[in-house]
Order: sequence, then structure tokens, then C-alpha cells
Amino acid sequence: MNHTYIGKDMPIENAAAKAMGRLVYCGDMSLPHMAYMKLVLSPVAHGIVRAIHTEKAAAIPGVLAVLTPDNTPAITYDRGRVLANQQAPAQETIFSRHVRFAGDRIAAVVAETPAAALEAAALVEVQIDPLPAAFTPEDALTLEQPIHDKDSVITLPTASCGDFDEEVGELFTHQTSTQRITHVAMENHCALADYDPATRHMTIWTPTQSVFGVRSVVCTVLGLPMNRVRVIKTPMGGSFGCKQEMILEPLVACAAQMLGRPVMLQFDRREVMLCTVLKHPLASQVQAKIDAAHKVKGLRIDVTLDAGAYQSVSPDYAETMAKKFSWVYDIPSIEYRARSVCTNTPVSGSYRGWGGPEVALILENTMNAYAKKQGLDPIDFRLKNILPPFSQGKFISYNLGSLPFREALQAGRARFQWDARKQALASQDRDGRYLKGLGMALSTHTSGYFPRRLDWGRVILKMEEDGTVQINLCVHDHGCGEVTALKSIAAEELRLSPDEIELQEGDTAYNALDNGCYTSRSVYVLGKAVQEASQSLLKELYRYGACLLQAPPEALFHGGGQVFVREEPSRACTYSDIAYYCADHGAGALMIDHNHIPESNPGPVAAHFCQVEVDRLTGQCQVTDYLAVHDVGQAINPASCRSQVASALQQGMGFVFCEKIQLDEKTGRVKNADLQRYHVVRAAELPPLDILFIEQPDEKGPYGAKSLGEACALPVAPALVAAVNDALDMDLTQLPLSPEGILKALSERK
Amino acid sequence: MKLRFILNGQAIELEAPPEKRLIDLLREDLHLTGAKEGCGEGECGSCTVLLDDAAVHACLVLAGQIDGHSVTTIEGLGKDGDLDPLQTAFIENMAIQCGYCTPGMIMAARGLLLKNLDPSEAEIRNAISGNICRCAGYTQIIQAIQEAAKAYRKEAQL
Amino acid sequence: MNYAQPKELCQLKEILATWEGPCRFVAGCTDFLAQRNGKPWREENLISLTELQALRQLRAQEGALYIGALCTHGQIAAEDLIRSRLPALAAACEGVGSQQIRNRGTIGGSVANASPAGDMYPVLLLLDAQAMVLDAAGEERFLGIEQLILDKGGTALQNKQVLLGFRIPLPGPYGKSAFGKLGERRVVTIAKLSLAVSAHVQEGIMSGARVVLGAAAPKAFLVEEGAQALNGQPYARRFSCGLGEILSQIIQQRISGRASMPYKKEAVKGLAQDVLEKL
Repeated sequence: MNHTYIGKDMPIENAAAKAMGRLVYCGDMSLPHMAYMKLVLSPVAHGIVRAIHTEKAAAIPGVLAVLTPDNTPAITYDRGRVLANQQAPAQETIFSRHVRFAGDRIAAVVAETPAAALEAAALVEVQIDPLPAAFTPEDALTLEQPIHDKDSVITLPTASCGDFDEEVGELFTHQTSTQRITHVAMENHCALADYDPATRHMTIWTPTQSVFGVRSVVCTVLGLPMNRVRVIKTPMGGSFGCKQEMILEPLVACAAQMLGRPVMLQFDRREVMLCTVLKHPLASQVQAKIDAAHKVKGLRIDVTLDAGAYQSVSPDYAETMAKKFSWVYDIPSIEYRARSVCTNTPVSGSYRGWGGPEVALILENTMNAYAKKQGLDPIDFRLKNILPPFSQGKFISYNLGSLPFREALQAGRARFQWDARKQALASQDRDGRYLKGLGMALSTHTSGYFPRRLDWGRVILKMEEDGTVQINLCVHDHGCGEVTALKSIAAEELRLSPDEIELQEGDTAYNALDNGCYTSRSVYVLGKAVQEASQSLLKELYRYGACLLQAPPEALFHGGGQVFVREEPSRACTYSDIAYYCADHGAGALMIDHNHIPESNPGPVAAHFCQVEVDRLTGQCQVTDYLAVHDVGQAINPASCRSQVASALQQGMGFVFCEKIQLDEKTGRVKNADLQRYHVVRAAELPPLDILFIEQPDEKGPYGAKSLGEACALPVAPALVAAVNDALDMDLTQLPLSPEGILKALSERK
Repeated sequence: MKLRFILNGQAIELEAPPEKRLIDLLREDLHLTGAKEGCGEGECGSCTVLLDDAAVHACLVLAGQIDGHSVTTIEGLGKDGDLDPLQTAFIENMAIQCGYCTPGMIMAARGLLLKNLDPSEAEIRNAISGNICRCAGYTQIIQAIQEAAKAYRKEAQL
Repeated sequence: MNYAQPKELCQLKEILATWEGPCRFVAGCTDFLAQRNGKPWREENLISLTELQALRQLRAQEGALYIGALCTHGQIAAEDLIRSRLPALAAACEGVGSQQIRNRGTIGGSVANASPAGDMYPVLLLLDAQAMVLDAAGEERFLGIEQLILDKGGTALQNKQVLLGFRIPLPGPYGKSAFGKLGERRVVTIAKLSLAVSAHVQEGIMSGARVVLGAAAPKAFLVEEGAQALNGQPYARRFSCGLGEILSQIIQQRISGRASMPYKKEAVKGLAQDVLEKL
């Protein structure tokens, strides 16, 4: 189907402002009398703060206040909780005398200038009585005094379907472990709060994935009414999950309330790496039962997540992983055990894919290792096991959608020339310095919350008197083009140019309550809401247009900002005419209030294929070829989609080869909280990336669209790991596959 | 210290501590917030500006060191209200996502094109290896720089 | 804080003669400011050398190359004379950081910073360079590069002594040199290991070889055994001289206790192959 805007490459709507350096991010903001905050962090991984001496700090010219556990609320809250009625571990306070990791918050200085705040913060003296500390889940389980009074260890009830013990098949065991990594969004976290004591109104500006989550936490902590706390989402310089938790906002809100003036907290890179959130280190064991026909009959999975110092979202993360094991292959019996263990390390939490990448890695590692052991082609092995289209999910029963696994595998196999490559690699010189390998992985994800929790998109679409449109919808664009996609959907329906449509991002003063930018719901849920609201608006335009044109609505058509009689196009009126007519003779305002509640959630399938080259002398790996096949339903803006996939590849390569937060074994301190020693993959190291979109429209998605943003992150790591293992004829299962690790494995084999 | 330098083509005078970092001078004193601080240690490139037409990290330059020199920031690109070909190319090639790396990336690219009007893909990748983009994956960025190079070459011929 | 930015050497000498207290000299600040990132810092006396055009000169004279301390890595890497006669130095400069770093970072700054992982010192040692130092009395003297860097780290420079530049004997027409480093990544990476090799190749036979191993120990050092393995051997068979093995042994001896040793002793063989390829 040929559309005007849908399916067309488009620059994101604020590209010009970004290219000019004029887009104002939170850290670029400046308010009159704005003060600056700097945190004082614990240098000790576990201890009780016996004394905090603030006199020297307070004496620095320009210092306005020093916040400590003694002059700030002691209310516990949870940084991951969006709605106040949600169950959450709630173990944190704004500042704490019981510090639980090196980087935990003890105090903060607020000053007139950033330099004064920096200088003063360095002069706050703390005395800490150390407590025994644990830096791994194994050690944490042996601590005499748990890290928290309760919920230091959360063991999930076993999730199961079928009966693993009853299944008949060969037992195959495998394990995978992953490391702590940081998101490296280019924009370091920032939040700005302003409290007006005269109106008792709090305003918070923050690049967040949930304005309502921020409001909810701030109101809990400060005891403020929600209708006088306004949270505004600022443009986001990347997130990948790191900006979905409420970390900086309660701090600045507290300071703003205390001082009655604006307070900004801008983290530097080190603070982002220590004090926000990192991906969970994870250890997993898998037992699989596979029958003689190579069908996987049962999976028993055991996962331990290192939650870091506070549980926050970790139990939820662990819990959602269960069902993700059942979405790809037709496995009758699955048993999933997991625990989330607190350690005295930086807090673990949200990362792109919410456990999906970990599940894909664990599952695909197992599949690839088994295929390798049995001499099976990995793609053929998958084809034997994939779920048929429109299967029901296990654990939570709902239709998983068209699941074009077969198409993705076959298209990818052909396009990547998998068989030809396999043949070529089979004759490579195995004594040579460089060894080449092939790998692939298959996965699927979500396009929203349904049916796990209620999901909805509440949108107000209003037509201004001049025929332009404003959309009021709680959107949190990461910078990846959500706003542009939503505008395109409205533009396509209304046959206006996207330029005639304006969409402001999340603002609790004007938006209806929203779940937040999670689980890749923006296009499938919010986009559908926009589409349906646009269609409702068209009905109104036709209704009033019929009056103006003296013709029945069925005889009308629309285009170019006009409604006209299909058979007599010269009988026309503009949207503006209709808006004024409505103001004089109709309902008054030309506005639609629409609530979309999805009852479906198609899994977007992804299949990745890659070839790598490993240097046996230095252990370094180069990715030479990469193909990503994605079931997007309908790419709303293919250029944005391609960028999403490319960024997932870069991040996945980092996850597999070189990214790792290093902890000092003795002190638990992070050794590399900076970009010199935390390595990300650079422009010169990326392979040429081929992308194939399979567009099988989903019945319920806007123009058939499913999701992509997180889905593309899932298969990267397992595809790369498989390729390295193929090259070396090994089964490396511990990430990262660093040069050191590879050489160590090679020398142990000798 | 009294700083006298050319900023985006205009001679200016400014009083500032010589040990202040250029990134802070730009953002705080001159209210030019296009250059961003992503790491403070010369690793991410989001603070890239031109110092005498060479790409440098503004987080690693002392304010005193710009005295007598010329500084160009993203805000200084384009003339007579038109965007620079690099800016246009970045927009039209969909090379911009979250935009945080964009000003630094464009300035690094400009530094390259001011020395080399016909860079190879490898030379482009090398020139931007000091700029981290986590959103877009570089393919479209490289295309944009190649397109801008063409426009620069055309202008040079005129 | 006292700040100065001398433009002429006579102004610099004036500062050295009259200023009191500890004096911190800075150039491109790519190390200086990166190290102070996020922390409040203060210097009693801060002197930027970046305006001293006299120290940005590169010139050949009487069989030697004089490189001013303020020459940037980018400037050195692009210099034709260096690319042709001292390829190891050009390669080392080309591989420092990113383009932005190479546009600012200087050879003098890198040497004075004396990081064990720095790329300049190993090459300067390979090339038997001498450092030119200016002292508080305004006297200039030469110091062998090996004496400038201390075994346990840091330089032999005293307060108010300034590195002016380097004097490198130019190899004859048969001189070859090469440099390579192994980092976490292939670009924009700090060296975990670096290797510099030079030799005279006349009538296909190598002589006068020098081998320097960097980033393994706190101070880069000459590997005599490596040089001996190359001397007298045909250039075409340089890969079979066992250089990699020798370097592996050296690493095992020199840094036996370090956690990085098992990796480095193996990886150095790959590095040796790569550097010999470039030679």
C-alpha cells in the first residue's frame, strides 16, 4: 500500500533545531535565581554514617544549603514505581545514613554556581563505620546481617507450565553469565525543579520516560498534592532505559522546596555510571530436554540477578523474564526459577529490552550450543522448533500475533548467503592466525503491556481554527522519532502534512495519566490511539462539512486540508472553514477525546545473522558482516527504524566484546567510571549493516505497525556469541568475550 | 584575564578566569549551549568545537588558551540565515536521532572538510571516531558527511 | 592563581627566573584537564606553553630532526619528513586518541605526563632521542630520553624545568622503523602493550636493530635479546626470528606478578607479527 507519509524516510521533526545546536535539553536550561546541586557520595561500599561535618562546605561563598539525612524526608520510596498503588520494594530514601554501595547518596550541596557546589561538596566530611560488604550474590547470601531489613533477597515463586520432569528427551545443560554495563546515553542525567512557596506549586523538568512516575514518587516523598506538582519532559539525549527510573527528581524537588527557588542537578559521566542504574549482572543455568527429532520438549531455567544495593525494579525484571522463554519455540514444559539478590554494588535496573536480551541470550546460547554439539545447522534447528503463527503465550495466555519466524529465518538465510558462507568457512585454514565464524539468533518481544496490566492511550486531538492540529498525548520520545511517527500517523489519516500537526511531549498538567514509555508501546498503543482519534476527528469534519457543503457525509472525501464532494471536487471547504463553522453552529470546539485500550500485543520477530573474524594471537574480534531481519508490521519511518537497529548492533557489540563496569574486588568501588576505561564500540569498528524489514501488517497496529525499539536489541548478543564460538570451536558463555578471556580459553584448551 | 578572540566570526572581548574550561566559558558565560559535556575527559566528542579551524574538545581547553585565536561553535555555522551544507545534509540524510552528539559530530566533520574536501569513507570514520553516537549507528552520518563534502567542493569551485 | 601564556622564549625564561613556588606547565591539556575532571583543582602557578611558536617547529639539521615540544600529534603524523624517515613516530602519533586529541595533544605534554601507557616515550627511546630541557637559570641542556623518564614513573624534571623539544638522529637511507599497539579496541584506545622496532636493512640483511616494549612495565624498555634475534637475519625472514617468543619470555620475567601478564605474554606474539609486517 502506498502512503504519503507512512513508510517514508523522514528526518525527525526537530532535526533542524538539533543540527543548529539550539534545542534546549534540561542541562541547557537557565531559570532566574537557579541554584546548582552537587551530591556527596559514599566512598565506602557498606557502612553506617556516624557523622557528617558540613561547616567547611557551608562556609564556601555561594553555598545556599547542605542537605543531609537529618534535614530531608526519611520516607522510603521506589525509584521504579509509576503508580503509587503499585507494589514495589521501596527501600530508598533521599539520603541515607546506612550507605549500601560506594556511590550511595549521603548528602548534597546547593550553591549559586556549579563551581561553588563542586568545591563545597568536596569539603563535606563524613565518618563511616564500615559494615561487612558483599559484592556478589553468592557472598551476599552468606552475610550475617542482610543489606536490608527485608527483601535483601527476593526469591520468585517458580513459574511453570507443563511438567519438565515428565518430558522425555536427552538432557542438555548450559549456562550463561553476563556483566554489569552502563547505557552510555550521550546526555548525562539532569533534573531541574522549581518550587514557588507563594503558590505552593512545584515544577520539575526532566528527560524522563514517565512524567507521571516522577510526579508519583515526588508526591510520596514530599507529601505534595498531585495537582500542584507539574512534571514536564524535556528533550532526551538518549536513554536505553537509564532515564525511566526516578532518581534525580526527588532530590531537586526536595532542595527546591527547601529553598523556594530553582535547583538544577546535572550529573557528570562518573555520577551517571555510579548513581543511576546499570544492567544486572546475571548468572543462569539451563537444563533442556530435547527429543530424538531435535524438538525441545522442556526447559528448566534458573536465574540469579544481582540487584545491586536496592531492589527497585529487579524483582519485576526477573519476573517478566519467565514468559519470554515461551514466546519463540514450541516448548510444552518450562520451569523458571529466579531470585534477585541485593549486593553492595551500584543499583541494577532498567535496560533496553527489560530482560528480553538476557532471555534471548540464555535461550539462544542454549539452542546454538546444542546445534553445534549435534552438528545441526542452527537455522534448521530453529525451524524444527518455532511456534506456529498466532500461537498463544504460555504463563499469560494471549495471542502472540503472526510470528513470522519461518519467513524471517528463510529470508535471512537467503539474503545472508548463509549456506555459501558456511561452505566457504568449512575450508578455512584452522591453523591460521584469523578464524572466521558464523552465528545467528532468533527472538521476539512485546508491543505494549497487554495483557499483563491495563494499557491505554488517552489522546486529545484538537483542530485549531486555522486548520492546524494539536495532539495532546503523553509521549516520551527518547530522541528516536516517536513524535515524528505519531505525527505521521495523524498526517496520513487527516491528509495534512506532518508540519501542520504539533505534538508536545509529556506534561502532567495537560496529559491524561499514562503508563510511560516502556515495553515499546509508543507506536502500537499510542500510535493506534492517534489513528483512531484522527478517524473520529474526520467523522466530525465530515459531519460539519456536510452541513457546509449541503451534501451527505457519504458523498464527501478529504485531502489537501479540505473536505470536498467526491463527484464535484470544486464543492469544497477547508478544515479552517469547518472549525469556524463548528465554533458558530456546532459543538463549539472541534476536539476529540479518545481512549484506546488495546486488546492485543503482537510479538515483533527478529532474526540476526553475522560473521566474525577472531585473531587467535591477540583475542580481538572483528564483526565483518551483519544482517538484521525485523518483523515491523509496517515501518512508519524506515530511516528511524534503521537507526534503531544500527544502535542496537553497536550496543550489542559492546555488551559482547568490550563493555564492562569493573569493580575493585576488595572495596567494591567502580574502577572505570569514565569513558576512557569503559570501552564503547567506535565508528571505525562497526561492520556494514544490512537490514531487511518484513512487513506483514498486524491487524490492530496503526497501519499494521508492531514495535522495534527494544526488539532489535534482543538477538544481537547471542548472534555474535554464536559466531565467535563457531570460529573458535568453543562454547564461551561468560560475557564479555574480552581479548583476555578468549586467549585464556584458547590456552586452557591447549 | 581579559580574553580577546574571534567567536563565530566576530571579534569579542570577555573577562574570565584563565583556568576555566572552554566548555564552561561557552555554556555559562556566552550562553552557547550547543556544545555539550558528555564526559569531561575528551572521550565522547559532544563538546567538539573548532579552535583555529581544527576540531578540539572544548572540555580540554583552558579559557586563557583561546586568547588571540578563533573559536567556532555549532551556532556559528551557516550564513545569512541559511544552514551550512553539513547541517542540511545531516537533516536530509536522517543522520540525527536524539541530537545530543550532533553539534559535536558536525563540528568534527567540519574540521575534516576544512582540511580535506574529498575524504574517503575510512577517513570519515577516522575523523569521527572521537565522537560517540549511541542512537544512530553512523551509516547515515557518514552519508551526510559525504553529501556535505560534495556541496563544499562545489562551493570551492565557484 | 598566577597564570601566564608566554609568546617568546625570553618571556618564558623571565618566568623561570622570577616566579616562586611550584610551577605547573601545560600544553594541549588533553591529559592535564582529563585527570582533573570532576574534581576542584588549584595550581599556585599555571603556565601555558601553547603560544610559544618557537616550540612548534620541526626542522632537520645536520643529520638530526629537532621536534619542538609543542608539536601536536596531528602535526607530527602529517609531516612528510617524519612519515618517510621516522615511520614509527608517525604511526605512534597517528594512533593517539581521536582526531580532536591529535589536534591538541603535544609530544612534550605526552612525555612530561610520563604515563606508562603513553605512546611517545617508547618510540623516542627506539629512536635514541635526546630531550632538550630549559632550567630555571635559563640554561638549555640535552638529556638522554632514558634519563628523562624515571623507572617508577614520572620525569626527572625539577620545578621550573621545561621540556623544549627533542633531538632525534635521522636514520640513513636504509633505516626502517615501525610501531604498533594493542588496546581494548582497535581505535581510540590506550595501549595495553606497545612495540617499536627499528633496523638497518642493507642488501636484504638487518643490522643495528632496536626493539622497545612499552606499556608492559611502568617504563618502556629496550629488549636486547629481541634486537639480537633480528641482527644479521634476512629482512624477508624477519617473521621467523622468534621475536614474538622472546618478547613473551621477557613479559613473563618482567611482570610475572601482574594480573595482565597471562594475556600480554600471548598477545605480544600477535603484536610482534603486526609490527614486523609494518617494518
